[in-house]
Amino acid sequence: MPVLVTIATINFFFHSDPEAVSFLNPEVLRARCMEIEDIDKRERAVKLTEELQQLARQYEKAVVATVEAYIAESVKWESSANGLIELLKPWDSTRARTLQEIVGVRQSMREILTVEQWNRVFG
Amino acid sequence: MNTTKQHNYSMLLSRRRALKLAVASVLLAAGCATMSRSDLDTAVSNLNGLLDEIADNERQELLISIAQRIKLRAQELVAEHQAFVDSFDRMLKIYDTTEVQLRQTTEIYNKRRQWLRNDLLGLQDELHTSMTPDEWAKVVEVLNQTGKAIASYTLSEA
Repeated sequence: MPVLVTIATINFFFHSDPEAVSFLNPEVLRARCMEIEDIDKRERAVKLTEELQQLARQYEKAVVATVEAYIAESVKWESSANGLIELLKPWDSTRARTLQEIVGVRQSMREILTVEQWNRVFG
Repeated sequence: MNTTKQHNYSMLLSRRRALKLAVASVLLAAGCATMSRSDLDTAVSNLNGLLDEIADNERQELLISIAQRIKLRAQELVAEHQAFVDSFDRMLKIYDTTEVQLRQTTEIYNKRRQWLRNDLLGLQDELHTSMTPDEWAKVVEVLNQTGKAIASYTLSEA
């Protein structure tokens, strides 16, 4: 049913404040990391925000693939819930893995920055 | 009204219903993307109205009750997603949050999201089996177009 197209589409990252610095908002985070004074740390931090951008794209592509797979199967009269669940599993895995990868990038950022630098970026 | 005119009128009504269903789906997707509960409520109310139109009297009550359960479950899914994003975002930014805490949070969310989504797919099955193949076929073409539009929009925004 068309109404259930929404099932696949609601899982994008969305924020109440698009200007807020966030790991889920790599563009804003990148701009903030550009202000880090230590050149070496700045370059490494900015590189990590680029990884976050790739992960955001990876997540959204998985969502789109989910939508397309969902629609292609749902329009068939013989489609079933179990068939759809099985079909969507690979994209569920991609999305779950992407969240874990974001956690990994965050850990790398934490290893680069001091507490003071961290608080300046996210404060 | 002669038979041909009646047939054309019936086809026109079917087409209008299909289009309205597609509009409802777009509204739902848009409502969810912007996290507006009122948009979601409006879209679901529209859907209920459409189901009321499309079904005969005997099936109306059943379809509306399924749609109501879909609405409740969809709202729950949206609310849980927003809660997760808020919590995950906040935790990521706190220096003292541990990697274990973050991984646990995402694992719990993934399991919960899939459970709710799968439950919605079960409700789709119920709704599906309550409709006739003819009714289903009428919305397929528009459903395809709507899905492609949503996918294109999403990629261009990424």
